[in-house]
Amino acid sequence: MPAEAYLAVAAVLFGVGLTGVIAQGSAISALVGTQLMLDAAILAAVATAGAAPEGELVAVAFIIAGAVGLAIGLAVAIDVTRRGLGPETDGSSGEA
Amino acid sequence: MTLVEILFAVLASLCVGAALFSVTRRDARSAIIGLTVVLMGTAALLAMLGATIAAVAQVVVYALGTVPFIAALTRMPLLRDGRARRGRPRLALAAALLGVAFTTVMGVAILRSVMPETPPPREAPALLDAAAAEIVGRRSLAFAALVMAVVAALIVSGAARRNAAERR
Repeated sequence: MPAEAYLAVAAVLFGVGLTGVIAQGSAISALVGTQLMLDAAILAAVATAGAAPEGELVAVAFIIAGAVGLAIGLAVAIDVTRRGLGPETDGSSGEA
Repeated sequence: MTLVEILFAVLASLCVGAALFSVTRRDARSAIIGLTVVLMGTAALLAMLGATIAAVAQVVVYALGTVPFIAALTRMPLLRDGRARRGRPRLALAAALLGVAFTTVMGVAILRSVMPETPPPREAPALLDAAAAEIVGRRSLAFAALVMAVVAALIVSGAARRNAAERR
């Protein structure tokens, strides 16, 4: 398969993740969208690297950084929720 | 159409579909199940590109660490967000347009860019191959896929049990 096909999938994933981060008001949804964007970046890095091993190393670094970022984001979401602000990221109280 | 192309089409469709499912759900559990599918599909795409270590790392880090951790956290009352909160239609529309525009621009840029037609076959880097053989062995992908399937099954069964309990 040509690298452009993988890059196209990565671009679509990034666009979907970006949409999720902006459109949804929940912290969990924002984290999921961020993970989608990070996943797209990993795929693009490996696809553009071709035979070079640097792409794979960058991908592994991204995976670890993404896991750490997700843990930090969850910790922030829990702390904010415990303070009574709710898991929403748009300042709403969460009531329908 | 070769088998590789069919496999790529299936995996790409699975990834994009699960991503769309994941970002359109307001229920955190559904979003996480969708994210799990996306991660699994991306790991398979990485394996197709020859990045075996990255694929295994993705499956192990997320399947064994992060996704079950989030799934456990979403069972906590403070993060349960199944209240069907009203969305923000204007912002959602703007975000969708922004996402489509970004994807279109990226797609055009990719199509117009000068890329090698086919990535050359990866010559096994000695250091990485030795590390992969030492750490995970030859059946690493099968093992990683099995782990991912078990974790996904656990998450789905837990969600089903929880739904049944809530209905009661």
